[in-house]
Amino acid sequence: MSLQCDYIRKLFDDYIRGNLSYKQRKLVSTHLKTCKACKKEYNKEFIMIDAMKNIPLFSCPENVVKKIEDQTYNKHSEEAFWRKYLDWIFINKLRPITIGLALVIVLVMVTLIPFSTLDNPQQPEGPKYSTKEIRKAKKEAEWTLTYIGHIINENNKEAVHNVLLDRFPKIIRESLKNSINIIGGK
Amino acid sequence: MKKSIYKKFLTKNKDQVFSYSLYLLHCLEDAEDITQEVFIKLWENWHSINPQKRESWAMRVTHNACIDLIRERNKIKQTTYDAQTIGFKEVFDNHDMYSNPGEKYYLSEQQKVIVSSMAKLPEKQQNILILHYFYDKKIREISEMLDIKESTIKVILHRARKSMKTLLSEYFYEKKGGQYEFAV
Repeated sequence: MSLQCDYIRKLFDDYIRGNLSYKQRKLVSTHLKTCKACKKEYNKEFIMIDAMKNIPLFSCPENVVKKIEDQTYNKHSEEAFWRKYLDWIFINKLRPITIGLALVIVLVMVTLIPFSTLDNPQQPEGPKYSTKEIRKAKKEAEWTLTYIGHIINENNKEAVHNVLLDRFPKIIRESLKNSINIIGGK
Repeated sequence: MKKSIYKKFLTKNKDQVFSYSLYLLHCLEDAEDITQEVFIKLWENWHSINPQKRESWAMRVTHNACIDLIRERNKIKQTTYDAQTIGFKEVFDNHDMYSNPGEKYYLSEQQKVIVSSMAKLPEKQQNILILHYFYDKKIREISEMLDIKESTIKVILHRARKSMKTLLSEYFYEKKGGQYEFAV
């Protein structure tokens, strides 16, 4: 068998089905007029393809169709409202928008929740004194200040300094540190 | 909306899916099961399938399901269904559905010869011949369904036709003028 016969025989199927260009059809038909061997092969192939094309398509039995219906749309005919709604969303190609909206809501919640604590800022913790202790300290401070006045009048600077160190309660000393400018020093 | 589109698709393609399963499996019950399985899967995966490729998807799933079942049968060696080792007479005599004229699965003797000869071919050749000639599918469509390159399908098709001619050679009778007759 020549190379040309081999090439022509490969075109038989498309030739029979009418899928060749005009040039190719002409080539095949001319070759078949001259080559007896190819002509025999073509006839066999034609009969075989014709028989295969006529093999019937069988009808699917009704009981199978019924089973399919029962397992698919008949089963889901009473869908919940939310499922129908989601189905509507997917069919209308709103999926990207729905996902985007959900992401925005999550982001807003994540960013806003921490800011809700700014309305009630926490007070710095300080030393805790009872009301009784504060009253007592105030009384002692008043007496000490009177005594200091007396000492200052007597020009006793050293005594004033010592009194301040010894007599004033700690809380008063701390608060007076920066506010009283005592004669002769701090 | 999904229901109405699905219903139309089912009406249009059920015979194709069922016939394809039947020609591959030669068993009515198995073909019915495969058809049911394919359409239920289609319903469940409806939204993830490209609407333009639903038919290819359905045929591909049918093909894969049939091949899996054939391989399972071969494993447990159910030779009753193995058309590659049994002559065509036994295959069709065991299945009355093909033999009674007027019955919905009736095949003529000539058609039985074609179908049983096909059953002797390798799996891929058989599948491609069925899709190309029984269902008049183009090479491009078959390539999409079976996920095989178009060039590969052309080669397989060429080999399948050659093998079929060899298998059917005893049924070709030469007439005068180089014409042939296919007689059983």
